[in-house]
Amino acid sequence: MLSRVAESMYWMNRYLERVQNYTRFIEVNLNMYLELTPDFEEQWLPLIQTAGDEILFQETHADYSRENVVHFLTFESKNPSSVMSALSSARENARSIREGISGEMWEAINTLYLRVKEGQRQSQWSIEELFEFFKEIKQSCYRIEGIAHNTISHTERWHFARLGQFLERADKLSRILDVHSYYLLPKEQSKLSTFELIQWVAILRSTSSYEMYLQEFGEPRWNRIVEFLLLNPYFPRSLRYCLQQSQKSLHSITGNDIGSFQLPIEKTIGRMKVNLDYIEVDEIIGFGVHDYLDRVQVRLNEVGSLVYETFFDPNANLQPVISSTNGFNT
Amino acid sequence: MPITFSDYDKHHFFDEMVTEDGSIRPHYQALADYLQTKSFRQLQDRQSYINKILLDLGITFNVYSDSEGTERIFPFDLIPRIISNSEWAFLEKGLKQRITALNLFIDDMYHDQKILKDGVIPSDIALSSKGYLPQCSGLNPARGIWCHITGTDLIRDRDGQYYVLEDNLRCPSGVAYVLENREIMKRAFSTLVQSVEIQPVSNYPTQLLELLKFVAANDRSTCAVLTPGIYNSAYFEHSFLARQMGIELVQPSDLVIRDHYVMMRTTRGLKKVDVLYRRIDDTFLDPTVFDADSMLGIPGIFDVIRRGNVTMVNAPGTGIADDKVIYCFVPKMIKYYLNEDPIIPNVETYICSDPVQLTHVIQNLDKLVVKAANEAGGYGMLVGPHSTKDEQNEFRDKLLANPRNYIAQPTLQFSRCPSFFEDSIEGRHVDLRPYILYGEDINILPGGLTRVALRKGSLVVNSSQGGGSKDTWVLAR
Repeated sequence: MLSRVAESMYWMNRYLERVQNYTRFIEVNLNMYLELTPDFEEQWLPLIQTAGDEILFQETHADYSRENVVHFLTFESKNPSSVMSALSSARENARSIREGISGEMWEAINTLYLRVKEGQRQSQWSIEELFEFFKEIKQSCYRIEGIAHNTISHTERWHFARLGQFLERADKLSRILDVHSYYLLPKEQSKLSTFELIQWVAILRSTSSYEMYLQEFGEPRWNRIVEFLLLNPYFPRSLRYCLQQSQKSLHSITGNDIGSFQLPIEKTIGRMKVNLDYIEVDEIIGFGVHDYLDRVQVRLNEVGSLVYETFFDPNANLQPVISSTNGFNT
Repeated sequence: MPITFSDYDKHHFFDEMVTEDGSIRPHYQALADYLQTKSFRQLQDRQSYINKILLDLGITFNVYSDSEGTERIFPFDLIPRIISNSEWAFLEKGLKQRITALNLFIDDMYHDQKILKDGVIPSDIALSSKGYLPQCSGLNPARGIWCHITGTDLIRDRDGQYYVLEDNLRCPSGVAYVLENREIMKRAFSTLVQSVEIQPVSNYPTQLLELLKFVAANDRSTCAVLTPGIYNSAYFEHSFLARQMGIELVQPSDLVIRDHYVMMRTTRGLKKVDVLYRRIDDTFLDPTVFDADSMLGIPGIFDVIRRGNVTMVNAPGTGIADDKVIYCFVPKMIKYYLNEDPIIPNVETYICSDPVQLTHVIQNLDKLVVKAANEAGGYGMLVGPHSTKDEQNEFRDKLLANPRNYIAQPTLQFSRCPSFFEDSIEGRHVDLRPYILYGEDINILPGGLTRVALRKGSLVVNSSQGGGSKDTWVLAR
């Protein structure tokens, strides 16, 4: 397939995943403050920190009020990682490869885009309306994923999309955990205050992992939550799972065996994945959660650059080292 | 309240549906009967439904001058334009004749130029055309076909007679709307569509792909659609056609030249491309041969074309026949190459490079339509009766400065077709663009694109100027 089409498949899905993640962050923060008594001061700053957009925010908005932060993360076109911007980018990518995705998939993306664009024109939002709106976005994202899964051939193009989706998910998971744990890691062992408990539960909710976590560990404990989100091999939004899937898709594209490497990108992803396979949560805590996640971030950025260099860079080697036994017909 | 045509004002124009004495033309009777069972309210609902489909599907075009919200839907009028079977048979015959002669003309222009030597067309006019590319001399496109895809614009005047208005042999757009319009009508007016026997249009992409394979070296050849990119106003159509044919949609940046072949960059290295259905103008194809400032092109591709290692659809150089001055000579070409009389006439046209005709044009600027010889899309045009004194003066200066670049025509009373507005049905001017595929045979898509000037009184049907479209039905019997 065309390199450009592969690149657009990859970015289309990265952006779609981003849309979903930002929606989750905002939704859960809104939810959290409904549960807290009024004497707790609402904290909206961490959301901006999660996205790493403090400077831009200060340029466009006066203070970290709920209205401002929600607007900035949802509708602000100047914010490249707002829901609106991410969705526009997803749609632009989809539009440039309409012949390469199913008509239903395009229509679903376009309809969601038009819906959020319409929302952008509304100036006042009640909390109820916002909940309804975010739910709609999330449901649409699930719908798009479902359509993609069932209407796009699971060949190379599909794996480029999956690679984008899981690398993005890994990135956002590590960011949200990092920012929240900075505020939340307890000074004394495992006993949580009501406020902290509610925040940890909020993290579980924002990653849609609340029920699955409870199935596994029963009660919210911060070290278990860290373990579940980073190391669980079966939960589709854990870091380890994301790396497993990224690796699978990468090797499906290249046709090389998993377990060894031919390309630098196979090596980098492989090492990350193996690290997650053999590390224990106590080791991570001993090392420092923040420092560990920092390293994860650096590696993920490295992987992102390598994806570009390996498959998309028009000036690079035009013949990536890939197995001749790969079964896909392009 | 049922919808009838008893109060319909056909004015003094030729109306596609209603005759001089106010009765319904036979081939529109089924439509009239159907509308009589509907209320305006019901049609309004259908119209909103259709607009929503268009928006959701992203069937939009880009407006160059508009920076925010650059995509718009192409307005769709839900009352179809209907062409009787015999009328269509006549048009088909006329169009085939015309395109055969035009193809011979282009080939002649880039080889022996017999038609110039025999004095049928003045050499200075032909050779000064912007669309004439000397670089194409001696070019031998596969199977001798230059203009594979043509979108000829036809109009009917007050007498109901069809005329050719323009030939459009470069990259005519709009065919995707024809196919989508039919799909939409099928969804919004299922019963009606089913009850009338309409010639289908859905096999156009298959015929187009057959054409591309026909001009390719062999069956396993790789064909692709070449688009300037997603910001082009017709991008939707480029992507639509690639999708419908199941072939790649490539941008110039996807292509490189290696060892005298065109290659596309894929995830497994370079892959040869044999046929390009290109939707990029000639002069943007290759910056090393044509416009050196062009950021769009593929450097070196013209050499590959000359070697016959890639087939361009349409071939470069066909623009010569798009020149509105050359257009005036098409009836003569038909006589010259085919020894036949033209079946569909031209619109009477004044050539401004002729001093006598120029004087006449300048004296009648308030009555004539003046067009630049090489513009499209309704740009560079003066509609005399609708113009101000200042605009006329501006055009007079332009004409005097560069007479070769202009032609003038009488202001035609385009035929009208009933069109739907909230709570009324009013006549609006229409034209017709059939799409002609020149491959192993010449195939014409039954019907084509009917463009309608939705603004009251307007004669300009271009989408960039407030035009819309209608589904166009050719009856099967």
